[in-house]
Formats: sequence, structure tokens, C-alpha cells
Amino acid sequence: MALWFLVNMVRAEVLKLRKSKSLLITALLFSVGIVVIYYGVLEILHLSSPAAHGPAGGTANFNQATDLMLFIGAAGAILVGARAGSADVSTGVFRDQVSTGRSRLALFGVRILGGLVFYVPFLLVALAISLAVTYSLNQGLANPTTRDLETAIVAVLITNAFDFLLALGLATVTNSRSVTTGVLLVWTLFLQRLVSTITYLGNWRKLLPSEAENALYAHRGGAFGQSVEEAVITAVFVLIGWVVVMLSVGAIQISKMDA
Amino acid sequence: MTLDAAVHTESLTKRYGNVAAVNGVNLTIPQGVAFGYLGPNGAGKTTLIRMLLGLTPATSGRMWLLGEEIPKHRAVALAQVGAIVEEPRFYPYLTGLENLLIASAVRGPESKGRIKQTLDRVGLSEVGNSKVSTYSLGMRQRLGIARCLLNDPKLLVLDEPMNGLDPAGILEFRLLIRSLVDEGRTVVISSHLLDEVEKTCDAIAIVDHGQVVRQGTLAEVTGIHEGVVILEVNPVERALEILGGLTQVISVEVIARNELKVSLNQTTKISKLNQILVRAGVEVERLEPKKATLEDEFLAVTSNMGIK
Repeated sequence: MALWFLVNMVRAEVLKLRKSKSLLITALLFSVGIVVIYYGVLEILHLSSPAAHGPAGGTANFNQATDLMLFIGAAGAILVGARAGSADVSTGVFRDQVSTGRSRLALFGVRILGGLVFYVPFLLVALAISLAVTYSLNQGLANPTTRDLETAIVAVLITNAFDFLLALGLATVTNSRSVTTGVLLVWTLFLQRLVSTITYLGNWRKLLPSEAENALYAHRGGAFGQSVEEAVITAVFVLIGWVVVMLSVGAIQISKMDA
Repeated sequence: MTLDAAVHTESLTKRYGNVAAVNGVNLTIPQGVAFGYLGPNGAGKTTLIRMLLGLTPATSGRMWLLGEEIPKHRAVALAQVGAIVEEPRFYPYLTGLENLLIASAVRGPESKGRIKQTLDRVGLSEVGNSKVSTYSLGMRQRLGIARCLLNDPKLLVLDEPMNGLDPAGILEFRLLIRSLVDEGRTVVISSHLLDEVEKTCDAIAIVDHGQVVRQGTLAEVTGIHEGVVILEVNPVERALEILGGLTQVISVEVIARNELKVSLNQTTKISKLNQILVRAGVEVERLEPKKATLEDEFLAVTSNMGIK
């Protein structure tokens, strides 16, 4: 019976997210779309002027595409998390769910699973497209090593899952998709990267999620490098810490709030 | 406590700061009836329902649903309850069918099999595949009832369920409620539509300023009010003189030429009144008992209409 509830409630969560056209298009655009556009532009440039522009495949372009999935994908993850965390309360359906006697924490838990089941396939498709282009359109350029591939896949999945969970936890507290999205986009994409440049903060900067994420993928050489050296194990604990705190605050809020 | 009651509360209180939204409510709702929970706006009707459904905690007091203490056995009790609080809310971008599918996932495996049946019952089968955003308020009310029925509840708690329904919809709704009661379910209706509650419900409670001021069967509650008789008499002056001297008469009011409205205490027989007047030489051309309505009682016992 518990398994039936889990499977069906997660399915219901996915249905809610999947049927929202605006969210579906956003998630698609910020994951698969951005990779397709990136490689599409590279290939068009290459075909129009092969001497000036190299092929779309190869390691360097793969790393750039991975950066896009980390940077733009994070925005997608935030939008999906904000929606998953606030939709039930903002539509008023949460009241009906609570009045069935179902545990509030269980309702919170399926939001997490449902959101991940909804968004992770988009990321996997984006990664698959990236890999396909990297190998099929390399025209003699060096291919990424197996370790490069593993690191990229793990970094994309972990970073996006982290941003999704952060957004879901915050949205459960604010019960507002727009407030959550605004706060986290500013924080994730800009503010914490500015804070990481304040050398006065020293090793405290290791607590910034952006620094921890960079430490997990230290050799990507993308737009934002590391400001402070951080061990992978420290980075893992920092990210887990942020997630635990945000989800705990969300769980407490959902348990105590008037429905 | 009453173990076989659908709802039972003892000194139930909910405070917001210094304001008591529900103040020491003792309420018993028997099983298998349509029960009207009446009160002016802000009387605490919805707050009581929210406490019963675990949507907000009580400040003090105790409550039971279908014999299960709340919040201790909340999950067991609420699995047998269907409820609409304030107004039924749905995901507007999903169809009625999809909304019920999501609602059934929260309720349990049997609920999923009842989706089509409940849509049929509330007359929404043909629009089940339309988005809820295209539904009228009345249709959303009916979809709310369908959602309530998914878990085949013993108790339905409906907060203002007739809002937005047209006259035909109200009649359909009344028949639906009676059919649910005929199946042995208890239906609690919180409403301000006194006429509809009077037509639909078997028993009522009237709440005012967070307290239950009357409760019982409709006959018991309206019967507390004194009987009123309309008399058409001649000469009216002689009738006034006679009636003014009777201890059974509480008040007399001239409402038209030769027409009097006489309030009598409960023990007085109307035939006796007729006899007294005729013996005194008064011609009684019409004698019409006017029973107190639920509205009369409601206005008499609730304070914010300025009538108490």
C-alpha cells in the first residue's frame, strides 16, 4: 500500500508539472533547448565558413556545452523547484490534500521526488545530445576522456538537483513561485559569484554553493573559475548542508502552517 | 463523549491572539443526517471546520470525528471524511478528470476506480476532459463534491457548498445531499442560505461569536420560538381589549385593518383562543397559525443583525 501511494503520488506530481505548458517549455528550453541552440549555431558557423570556425564536436565545445548546462540549467532547475514547492498552496489544493489525513511530510516528500522525476530526463536528453554531437561532429578533434565525461555528467546532475532542491525548500517556505525564483536566480547566478570575489572572507567562501560546485568540476575552465581551493569532500558536505537546511526549513514550515 | 456521533466537540476553542474565533464549542452531530451549521459571517463556522479537518490546530478543548479523537487519530478519521473548505480549489490548467486523478492518488487505490462514477453522479461526465479554468463556479462546486466522494466517505463536510449554484443547481444539490444521507452518510453543511438549509437539513446548530447558541433538530430549534397567529377580526378594538387581558398572549400587533399578529406561548391552543374571542362577541373571520421559520430563529439568536 505504501508503495502504491508513493508511485501514484509521484506520478500525480509529474502530471501537475508536465501539464503546465509554461513550465514544460521553460524546462525544455533551459536544458535541451540551450544545448541544441549552442551546437546548432556552432555547426551552422562551421558549415558556412569551415576555415574560420571549427566543427561542433570535440572536447572544448563539449566543455562549453557542459558549462551552459550548469549555468542555464540551474535557472531551469530553480524554476521547476519553485513551481513544485509552491503550486499546491498557491492553487489552494494543499488544503484538500491535508484534509484527507495524509501526512504533510509525505506530501512534501513526493514534491521532491516528483520534481526530480520531471526534470532529470530533460538533463539526460541534453547530455545525450551533447555527447552525440561531440563524437559525431568532431572531424578529427580530440574527444573528451572517459573521466571528462563522468565528471561532466555528475556535475550537471548534482548542480541541477542541488538548485532544484534549494528552490523547492525555499518555495515551501515562501509559498510564492515568483519570490523564490527571483531570490534564487539573483543569488545563484550573480550574488554568490560576487561574494566569492571578496578575498576578505577567506575560507568562509568555501561555504558558497557556487564554490562547492566549481570544486566538483574544477577543471572545466568555464566562465566562472574557483576563487578558493576546496577539497571535493568539503564541497560535497557544503552542498549537502545547504540542501539539508533548506529542506528542513521547508519540512518544518509545511508541518506547522495553517492549511 | 458520544462514540456514535459523526462529530463531537468539547469546549473546543481557537484563539488568534486575544480574539476567540471559536469559543468553548460543545457540538454533537449525529450520524446519518444532513446537518446545517449556521452563523453570520465571522461567527467561526469555517474555523471550526478547519480544526476538525486538521488544517489548523485547536487552542484548547477536544474533538472527535466518527468516534476517533482528533488530532491523535487524524489519519484514520479523515480517511472516512470528504470535505470542501471555503471553496473547492483545483489546478486550473488541468482537466476535471486529471484533477480527480491527482486527488485519488492522495486518497488511495479504491479512489481511482471511483473517478468516472463520481463525475457521473455530479453530472460532469461530459466536461471531464475540459480544463477546470473553463468551468463555472457551480461546476467547480460539483467537481468539489465529486472529489469528496472519491474515498466513499461516511462524513461529508461542505463549507458554503451552494455558493454559485443557480436555482436548478441548488435543487439538484439538495437532491444529491438527500441521496447521500439516504445512503447512510452524514452531511454537514455550513451555510448562510437559511431557506436551503431548512429544506435540506434534518438538524442544525446556530453559531454566533464563536459559540453554539442553538442546536437540535429543525423542529426543536424552530419550536423554541413562540407560535404566532394571524387573526382577522371585527371589531378589532374589542379583540385587542380581550387579547390584552390574556396571560397566554405575549404580544399583539395590528398589521392591517382588522388584522392582528398575535404571539402566543407554547402551551396555548389556537382553538382555545378562537373560543375566547367568539364568546366575547368578536367575529373571527380568519385564524392562521404562522410557524416560526429558521430565519426567525436565526435572527433572534444571532447578535450581529442588531435584532437580539
